[in-house]
Amino acid sequence: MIIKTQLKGKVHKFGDDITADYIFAGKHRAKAENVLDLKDYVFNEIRPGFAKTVTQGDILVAGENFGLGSSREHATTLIKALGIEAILAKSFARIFYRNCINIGLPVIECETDLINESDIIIVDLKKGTVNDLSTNQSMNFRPVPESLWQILECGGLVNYLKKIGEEG
Amino acid sequence: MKPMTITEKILSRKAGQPLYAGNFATVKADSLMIHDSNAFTTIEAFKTFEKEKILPGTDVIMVMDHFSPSSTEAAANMHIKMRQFRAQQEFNLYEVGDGVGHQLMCEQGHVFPGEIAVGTDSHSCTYGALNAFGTGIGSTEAAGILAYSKIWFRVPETIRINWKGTLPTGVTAKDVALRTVEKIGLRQALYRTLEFGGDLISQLSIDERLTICNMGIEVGAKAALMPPDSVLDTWIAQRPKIRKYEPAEADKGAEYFKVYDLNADDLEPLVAYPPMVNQVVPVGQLQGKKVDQIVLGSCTNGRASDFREAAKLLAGKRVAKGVRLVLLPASKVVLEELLADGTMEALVRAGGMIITPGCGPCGGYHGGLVGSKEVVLATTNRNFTGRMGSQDSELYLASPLTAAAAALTGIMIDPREVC
Repeated sequence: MIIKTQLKGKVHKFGDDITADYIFAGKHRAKAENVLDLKDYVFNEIRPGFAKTVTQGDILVAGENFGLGSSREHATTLIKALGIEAILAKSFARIFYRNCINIGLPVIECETDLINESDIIIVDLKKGTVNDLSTNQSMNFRPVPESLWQILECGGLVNYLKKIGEEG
Repeated sequence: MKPMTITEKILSRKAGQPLYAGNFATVKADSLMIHDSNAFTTIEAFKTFEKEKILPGTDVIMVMDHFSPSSTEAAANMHIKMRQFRAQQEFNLYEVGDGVGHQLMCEQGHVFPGEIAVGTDSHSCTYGALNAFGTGIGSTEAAGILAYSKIWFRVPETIRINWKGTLPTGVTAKDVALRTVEKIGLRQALYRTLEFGGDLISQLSIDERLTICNMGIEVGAKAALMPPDSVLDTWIAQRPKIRKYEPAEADKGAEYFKVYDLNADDLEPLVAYPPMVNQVVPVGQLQGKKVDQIVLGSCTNGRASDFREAAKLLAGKRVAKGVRLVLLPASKVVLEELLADGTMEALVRAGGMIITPGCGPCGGYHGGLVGSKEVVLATTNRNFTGRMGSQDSELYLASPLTAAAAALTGIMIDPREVC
């Protein structure tokens, strides 16, 4: 088990229709060969200095259609590399959702209106619960489907495919 | 058997069992496109599988299109990494200047009707114009296909869009694409597929169909498919490489999430205004707005017929003073065709600047990024804030004809008023 099922972290709150371009703009890609050297550019255009505000274990919370547009996996890799351990949104763009699962970053479809910037929340991925310690509100969500949980549990697609082998 | 949508039929055939919306399937990818923006991470991920060779069975291409010719030293090193990988592995490597991956996939014979074609780019839905299930994936998943040739899908529900009527003069496939995005909106098609039909579609060339399917992702769609027909067969027969294919048509009575009936007869030249692609108005509503740069081309509208449309307005004339016209052919083949028939000469004499076939400024990579407060009218596919440069630039999307009219006059204007 590589993944934690219970997470506790500080919230970074975003709105609806946050594009993959806003998470990590294509114009920064060719500034370094290794994507991990580009962490400072995450949300650079819509929230400059974001990277410095993240500590390990923080949680992203957003509205509808998070991550729309580009298929660039860097957007997900960099969020994870900054220390974000889960993303909660009312809905996700499909390629972004898939990329998160594939790199072992939990994504949760959940009502998020009641969660505020900088709240401290506890998320139980298996039970499907969010407890907002700052507001004393709690919410339920449908846990990630079992087939995707198996990928998350391995820490991502690479380990999953290696585990199930050629039959996958 | 219960009737199927095009998507259900393609995925069922590949899985060897009947599948309907909501089912999961693990299938072979017939082809895979990986471009330079994601090649580095794909190659690194492939190494972690500890496989010596790519598993044969998928037609794999790698393409240098996003920062090509290299825009930075790092870009050049990423291109070197792709060439080194090619030296060890069997696949088609397209070099600097060959064109945009999506155009090469279609034009060079890597995608055929009824197939599953994926790419590390969200605009892989373009392949739906060739009746293929085309969809964008990330680099880890691309590496998984290199190692195992397979990919999983949840069979998506389908939104059917029937386009009827005939395109009026001055109205193009791009306007059909923009109206489609406006009607469907940004979220309705999340985890769903678009399936086009109706008598308008059968009147369109493959170039025009590619433009419409290219923008399927702008509504969040997983794929955007068109039916097969004789126009498609004729086009396929002209590819440099052909493999046997089995087209997929929708069955009568197939179940759709929703059906739209749209009519082209009263369509006008449209513009999508920033910062979202579904914000669409007739160009007449923005008439008079000054533009600084025109980008004509890209994987959306960078084919020979697109440049010929623009040349109808621009040949023998000059672009307006102070306007920069960037010409971005979708591929070298397209560029050569336009050089041979005199179209490019006419556009360059009119004041256009040719840049290397590829993605250029579309994703903010190189070859025409814009500065503060500048206004761009582009035939590309996204108008998100800052996508082509400065955060306070403005990016509008329109057809090649509307772009040409703006290049000529220096303002946004209905192309039917310019001749």
